[in-house]
Amino acid sequence: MTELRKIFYVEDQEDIQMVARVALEAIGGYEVRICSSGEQALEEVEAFEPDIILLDVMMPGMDGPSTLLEMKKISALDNIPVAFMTAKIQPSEVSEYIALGAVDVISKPFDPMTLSDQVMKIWQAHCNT
Amino acid sequence: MHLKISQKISLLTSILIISTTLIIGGLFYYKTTNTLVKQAIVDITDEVLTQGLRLKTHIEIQREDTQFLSRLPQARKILNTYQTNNNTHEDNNEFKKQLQDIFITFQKSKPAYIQLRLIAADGMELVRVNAENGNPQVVKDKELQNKKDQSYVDSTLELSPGEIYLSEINLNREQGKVVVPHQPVLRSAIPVYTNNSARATGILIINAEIDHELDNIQNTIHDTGRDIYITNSTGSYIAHPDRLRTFGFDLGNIHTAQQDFPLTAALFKNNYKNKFMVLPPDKKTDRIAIFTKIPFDESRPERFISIGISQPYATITSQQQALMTTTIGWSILLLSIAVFITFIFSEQLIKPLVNIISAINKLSSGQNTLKTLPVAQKDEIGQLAHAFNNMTTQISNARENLETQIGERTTALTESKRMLQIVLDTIPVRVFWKDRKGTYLGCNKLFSKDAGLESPQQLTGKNDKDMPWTDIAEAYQKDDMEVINSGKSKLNFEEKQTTPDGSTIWLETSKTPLTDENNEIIGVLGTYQDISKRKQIEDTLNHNRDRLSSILDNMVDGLVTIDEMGLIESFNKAAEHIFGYGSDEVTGKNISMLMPQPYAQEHDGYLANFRTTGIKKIIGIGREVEGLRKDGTTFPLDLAISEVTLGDKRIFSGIIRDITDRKKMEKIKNEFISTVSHELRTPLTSIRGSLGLLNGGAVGELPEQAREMLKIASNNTERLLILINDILDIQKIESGNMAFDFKPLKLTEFLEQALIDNKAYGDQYGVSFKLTQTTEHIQVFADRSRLMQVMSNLLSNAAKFSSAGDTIEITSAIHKDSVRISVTDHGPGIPLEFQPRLFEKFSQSDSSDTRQKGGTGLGLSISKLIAEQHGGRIGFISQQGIGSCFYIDLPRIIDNITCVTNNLHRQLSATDNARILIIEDDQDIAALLQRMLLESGFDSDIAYSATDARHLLFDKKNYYQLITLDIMLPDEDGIQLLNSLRQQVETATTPVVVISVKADETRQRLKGGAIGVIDWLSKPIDELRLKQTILAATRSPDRPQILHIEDEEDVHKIVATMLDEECELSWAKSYTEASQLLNSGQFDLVLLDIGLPDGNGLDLIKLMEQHDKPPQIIIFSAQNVAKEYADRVNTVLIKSRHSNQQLLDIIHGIIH
Repeated sequence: MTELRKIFYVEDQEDIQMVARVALEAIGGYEVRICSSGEQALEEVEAFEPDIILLDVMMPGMDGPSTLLEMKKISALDNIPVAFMTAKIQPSEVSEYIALGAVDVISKPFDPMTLSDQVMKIWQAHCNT
Repeated sequence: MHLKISQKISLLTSILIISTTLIIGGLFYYKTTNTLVKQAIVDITDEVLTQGLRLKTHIEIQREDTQFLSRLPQARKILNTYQTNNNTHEDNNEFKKQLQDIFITFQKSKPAYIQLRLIAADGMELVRVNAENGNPQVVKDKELQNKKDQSYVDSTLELSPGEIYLSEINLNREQGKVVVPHQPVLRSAIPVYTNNSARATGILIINAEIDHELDNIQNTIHDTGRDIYITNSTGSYIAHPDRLRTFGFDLGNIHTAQQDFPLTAALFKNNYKNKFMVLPPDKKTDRIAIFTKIPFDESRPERFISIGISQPYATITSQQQALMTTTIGWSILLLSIAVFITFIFSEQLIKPLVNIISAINKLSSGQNTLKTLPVAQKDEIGQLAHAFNNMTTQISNARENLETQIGERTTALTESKRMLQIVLDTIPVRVFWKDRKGTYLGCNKLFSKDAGLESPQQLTGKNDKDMPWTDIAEAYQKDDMEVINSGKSKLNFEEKQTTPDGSTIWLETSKTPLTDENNEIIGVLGTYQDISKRKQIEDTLNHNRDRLSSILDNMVDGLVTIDEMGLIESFNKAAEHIFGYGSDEVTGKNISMLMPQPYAQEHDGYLANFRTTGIKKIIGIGREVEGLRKDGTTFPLDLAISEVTLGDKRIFSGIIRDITDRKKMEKIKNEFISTVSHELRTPLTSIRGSLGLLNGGAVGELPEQAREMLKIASNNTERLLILINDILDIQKIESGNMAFDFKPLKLTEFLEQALIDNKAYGDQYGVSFKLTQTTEHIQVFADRSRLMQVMSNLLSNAAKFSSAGDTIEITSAIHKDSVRISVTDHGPGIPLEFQPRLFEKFSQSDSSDTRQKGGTGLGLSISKLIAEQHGGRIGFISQQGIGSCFYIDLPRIIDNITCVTNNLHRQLSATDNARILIIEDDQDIAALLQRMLLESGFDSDIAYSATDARHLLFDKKNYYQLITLDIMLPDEDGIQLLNSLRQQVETATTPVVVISVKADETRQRLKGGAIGVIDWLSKPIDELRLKQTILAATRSPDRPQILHIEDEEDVHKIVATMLDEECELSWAKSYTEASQLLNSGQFDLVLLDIGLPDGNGLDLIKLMEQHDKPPQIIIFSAQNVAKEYADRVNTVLIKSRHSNQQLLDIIHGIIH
């Protein structure tokens, strides 16, 4: 893992999916796969072989934290960092995410022009540990 | 038995002497007897040892002699020859002759040896010499006997060479018969060995009488009055004072020591190791005895002789007995004499007493012989006589007094009877008394009036049936009988009465049984009052009370009242409902039972604190607290407490409203806000993202107009986001959900960063931020990002309300244990009517401004909440047309300890800060002064005239710690005002700083100066006031240095006398001298007379203020020229041009 190339993003809102896709692909130049639900994500994540995974928290059906817990069971993802992207960023909530195993939290609304940099910083921080 | 005193004394004396003599004599007798017996035992012991040694020596000599004879060569040769010649006497004659000669010679020198013999091994005597009557006689051969049958022959022959056989001491025998006269003998025999043969060939024997030796010993002992006993090893006597008891074993009648002294039995047993025995004094035989054993041969301890010596007690103590007899005789004689003397003496002693008795007896029978009493005598008897004399006189006086008193009392009794009648007729109570049958015996005037009679006398003989109240007479009589029969009073009961005009009145009556001197009940006494009016008032009161209590009981809110100790006094129905307790369950108990911990405990402390200090925490303020129901559940409630004073008692009433539902609603609301905010942020994410991408050119270039539209959309999105964030922030802080990360924070660095962060914002409005005053190395305990939020809010507000080109000033200054950050703008100021609502949510000063200025209207509310969370406070002053100044006070860290004991919950209260009264007529200058003081942490009020100032000082007594005074006031001259303030107790010592300033062109700086704490003293000088002023002004621990500038020497002398003890006083008598002294030295205070011969004293002020620490000044002046001086001072001060900092230093110096 010397380079961040592939980003796997789970988000139910199509609008946000689109903004994020532009921000990460067009501005950041990454390869991005976006899934609309936790269930779909669990089906596709292994095959995609992501370098980093971004998860929304509030989703219909399986929510972000449950998805994270399921992903933890997939051994191929053992060393892949997971970050939440969410509007629920009360300090107590953030510490809950970290306790679940997330490496960081990106707060919504995010700035599309700097989103790629933010993801890169999280990935680098993870690699350094 | 009746004894006279003298007899008693004699008897007592005799008893004392006899008992003393007996005790001492007995003790002496007992002690000396013991000593004598002990001494006797020691003496006897010595004696026994001496005699034992003597006997032993005697035996030893005989033993040595035997050995000597056995070693003679003649004896061996005789035996050899006897053996060689087959036991015949042939050829032995020569040696025999020689041995016989030796035996004879030996016997002559030792007459006690009565027989010397040589006997052969077969028992045949070979040589024998007998001593007959002191003459040795050789026994002829044919008379020699064979002693083979004698046991000693064989015993001796078996002995080893050198060993000796010693016989018991017994009586001499010949041919087996005891020889008469009895002669005790001791035989010693030794075997004789020849030619080294293994067996002895013969024995040599000495028979020695021991009678003489025993006699000698007995005689020696007998002379000392003691008896001696010598026995053989079986205890049989060999020697005894009674000769008949000796040698019983030889004569057939055995007497032993064991018989006479049973305790000696042990001595004669073989296993008794000790050779010595002291018998304890024997009561039966009345003697003491000591025995010892003397062995014949150390190697055979079973063979011995014992020697015992005894002495009767009688002979030991005989001397003492005689002494005793003499002593007793003398004692009896002395006793008789003592009793006689005592009797005579006591008779003499008692004689005067007898005289007194006789005088008293005579007195009771009427004869006065008191003069014969021995009054002159100095002892107790004389005193008794004297006392008796006095008593007699006093008794006689007392009798006279008594008679006078009886007369007086009789008069008084008559008078008091009259008084009683007057009282009975005057008191506003009806009084009557009846006999047992209910017939009236008497009454007072009021009662007779009620009964419709003209005088009490007319009542006599009547009963209740004859009265206007005939209809209720029976009820009255029933009460009377009850009291008479039970003997108990019936007090204060209410009843009706019919008046003579037929109407009914109410009475409060008491009836008491009437008794005679024998305590027999003879009737009833009644009293009553007309209480008709009281009855009416009571009815009204009861009605009102019922009304009030029904209002209270039907209140929706709970109402509880407590006393000063916190004990519940009342508890209405609603309170019962809220807490679940019945009123009777809580009344009288501590109110804290209705509070959960820790509030319950705190409450007691709070109430105690209030009682002692009067500090109120919640009285007069409504607040939310927790309540505790009977079932143990807690609930939130709104509590409003008010204090009520009833007479001298203080009670507190609390109105309680259960706000569980309201709280629930609040919680729902908060959660709703939180959810809504989140839900709003989600779509905003898309909107902001899309707009961001478009504006950022991520999707390509756009037309100019479209970009403008997008910019508008983008700005409003940001605004919406800020709004949502602010709402969330407020909700979080209020619900306590916001986490604060408190850390030590360097203030100056922080402020510099705040300026940098907000520079861009200021640029938008064309205003600049400037840090004009900072404090070095100050740290506060704060959450950096939250505090930055507050700074951003204050700075952006200031920027928004400033004109382009303005500078916004930021300062920080220490005030006591807190630090004040202030942000000052020169904008339009905040409208007065809006000021009270400034920190409310969604408040904006002017709705028309909203659009222009932007902002959510939440910023100051959030800032206020954040400041409070830091234990600080936020505030402002503002003047329309001049500008506004916002400040935050924060606790600062001193030596790594924050000054806040409880970091979060301490609130700085306004009264912590020194209050200053600014007396200044120019509004601009007053505002500037106020801001300047505020930035330094001082709160202040402004008075624009002397009248205003007087009002403020009157309304808030002891409230201001310092006054700044402008000399030129519109309505009154400042010096005059100062003088009058000094006359009043409250302001007599309040420091005053005279300030004369002008605002400069930009209105941001002050021009002018101030005189430090000064007083304006009129001549003549008031000494007390001068001293007080100096004390208040200098407050120096050392003797303050004072310069007195005064041209008149007399005045200086007076002042010098006054101040000599308190301070070091220097004197300058001219302007020139004064300026020299001021240039050369440092003074704490200057007393200044303005009129100097060579210049105006006021000009010296400029000189003084060039010093680092300018002295404080007290000006002397004549009253009537005050106005003129006021002008002059004003000019001087304005010329002196203090900097703002110097002005503040002066104020700081005075207050701290």
